[in-house]
Amino acid sequence: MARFFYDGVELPYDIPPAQIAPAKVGLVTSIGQCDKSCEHLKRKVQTFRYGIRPRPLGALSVETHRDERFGDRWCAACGFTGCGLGGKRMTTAVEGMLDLPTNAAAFRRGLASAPRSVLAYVVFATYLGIGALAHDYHFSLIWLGAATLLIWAGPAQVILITTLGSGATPVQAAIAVALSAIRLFPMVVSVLPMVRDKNSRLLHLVLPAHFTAVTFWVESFRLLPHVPRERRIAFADGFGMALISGCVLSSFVGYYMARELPDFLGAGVLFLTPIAFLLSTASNSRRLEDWLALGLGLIFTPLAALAHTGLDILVGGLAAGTLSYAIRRLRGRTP
Amino acid sequence: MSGASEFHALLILVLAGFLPNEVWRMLGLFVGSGLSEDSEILVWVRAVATAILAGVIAQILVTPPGALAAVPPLVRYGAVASGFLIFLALRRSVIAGVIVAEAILIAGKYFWS
Repeated sequence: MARFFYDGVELPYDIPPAQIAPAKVGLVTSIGQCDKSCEHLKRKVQTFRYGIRPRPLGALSVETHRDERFGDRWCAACGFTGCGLGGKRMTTAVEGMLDLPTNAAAFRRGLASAPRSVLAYVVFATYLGIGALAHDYHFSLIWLGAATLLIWAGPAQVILITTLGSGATPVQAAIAVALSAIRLFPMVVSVLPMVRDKNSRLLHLVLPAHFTAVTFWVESFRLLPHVPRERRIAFADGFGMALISGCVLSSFVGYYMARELPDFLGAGVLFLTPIAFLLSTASNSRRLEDWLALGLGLIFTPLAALAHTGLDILVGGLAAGTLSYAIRRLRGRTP
Repeated sequence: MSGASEFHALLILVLAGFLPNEVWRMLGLFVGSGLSEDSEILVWVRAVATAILAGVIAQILVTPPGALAAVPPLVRYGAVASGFLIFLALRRSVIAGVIVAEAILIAGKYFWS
């Protein structure tokens, strides 16, 4: 039987698990009614991005429930999303709650979950390329390891290595990194409500917040609902540490491959970064402005480099991004 | 690398890499809410972030570092283009695109030069 939580409190509902999409979490951002139709919910649910999909709507008859304790409605057909729960968070947990009696057990389980995650191997391969990139831009192994531990965001690391390595000033590198990292803010905002419970101390959430990057974020939505709420911080710490250690190791392997392998293979490892980041950005592109930003960014920055301003990455990126945004605005908000 | 320049490089890492990145996570932790995923400012931020990353990718391809610089430009661009076409043809399969692009690049470098 599924268990429902509303802002950390378990709700007294019995819903057959078959009617509930596998563990998902919703951050309800606006208030709406859900009496007969899920139309507005469809809109809201689509704000969940990074590959987390709502179940197909309309597969079930819509049923709404009124919760006595909170005086609000929520929608059983949509599995998890509260209707009329303005700004409140609601999670569901499906059957298969892990038995984790201690924090140590939860931490170990978190560690063990990383090698079982397909996405973890994708990010390990990405870091192989980042290690080779750091080698060929003449950074030290210590610098590379420290960068992965401290930054822990692939795009930011690629931007930092490339800008600093090709002679941009640290101020330009810092601005480019900061612009690339703003996307972490909404990720942390949406993942922390899953990790914390009412008694969590802020200090204990610093580490899960630091681990938050796209892989951790996506996998948290899949894994955390199976972890009892009071063990989630320990689990997230274990999972994040295993991911980050694996990435430090694979970046070192990439660094040595770039150093030791014959040139044609070394070039292949180095080539991983541009091709993997290009294709994964393309696969995340859904709307017009995403495609425009990608395409224009590819063209503008080399053009800006021809002008020898020394600010090519910032100038090219800001111009291409702003132009994409402007085109979207001019075309109206049609998808 | 000497100790002083290593220290200098790590200092720049903290100031130009760690702090501008981590500040957003800590804002998310301490501020907690108030920015909708669909707000206009975030749409602009996402577009600029994507364009900056695309620019860095272009820079690595156009003026490549180290071993990649020894690969003829035609092979580099050809590998990227074929990888992208395979990616599109196989329903946006990132892994297939990467494998094909890598194979073409390595083979091109091996036989061409």
